[in-house]
Amino acid sequence: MKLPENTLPTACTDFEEDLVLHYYGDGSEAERNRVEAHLEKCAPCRAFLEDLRRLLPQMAKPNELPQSFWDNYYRETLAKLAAAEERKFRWRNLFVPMRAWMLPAFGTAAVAVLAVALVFTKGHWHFSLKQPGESIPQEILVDTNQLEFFKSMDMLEALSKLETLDGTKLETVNSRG
Amino acid sequence: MIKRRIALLSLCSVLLWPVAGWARDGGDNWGRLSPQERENVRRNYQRWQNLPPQDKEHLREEWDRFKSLPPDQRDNLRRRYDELRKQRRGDRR
Repeated sequence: MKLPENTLPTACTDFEEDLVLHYYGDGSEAERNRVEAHLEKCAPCRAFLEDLRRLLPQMAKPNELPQSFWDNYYRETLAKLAAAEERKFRWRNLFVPMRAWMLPAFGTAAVAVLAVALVFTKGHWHFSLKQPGESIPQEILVDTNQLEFFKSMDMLEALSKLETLDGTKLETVNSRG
Repeated sequence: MIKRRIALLSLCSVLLWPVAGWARDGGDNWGRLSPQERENVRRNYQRWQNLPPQDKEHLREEWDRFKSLPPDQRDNLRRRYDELRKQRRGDRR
């Protein structure tokens, strides 16, 4: 029966392990001499060692990668690290170019706004937190119609009487009729 | 970092102070009223809150009717009301 090409022939059981160590150059001087003495006498062990020399370099052949791969790998790693760093400080970096001019610019803007406000309000500023309309809701203050209504409420209560005195109610009724 | 944020917020507050004041004043509407008119609005608003619903409804109807009148009639009525008010004050004195 023919053994497969890549199968190691059988060596002496006691020497199998020693042969592998011998192949790798391990073991003491005495051990090496003992194995070599045995090899001179034993053909299967010689064949086993020969096959080890033939097969093991193929099995343990390192997967050598070209230098260009490592160069690319290095560049990509650096790029990824830089991107991660940039993501980490993105918001902080957003304001970096502004910092130099931000303070004087905002300061100037603040002074300009204050000056314009002073001019237009003629210095009549009131800084109290009290509502000017006191208990009047904001929706009434901003609604001209509502404000006019409350301004005219006294007159509205007397509207019918005023119309009678003025003769306008009769005219209105007549014109509607 | 916190100092910068506080400084930025303070700056924004200063810049927005006039706008906040304007909004608090109800825009220009309230600012245009005279002190007497403002007092009148305050008083009427407080009175309005205590009015029964039917009176509120009546006043709303009167307001709608008043607004539908021609401008010269509205002016006449306002003038007439001011005269009557002055007359009443004179009678009281």
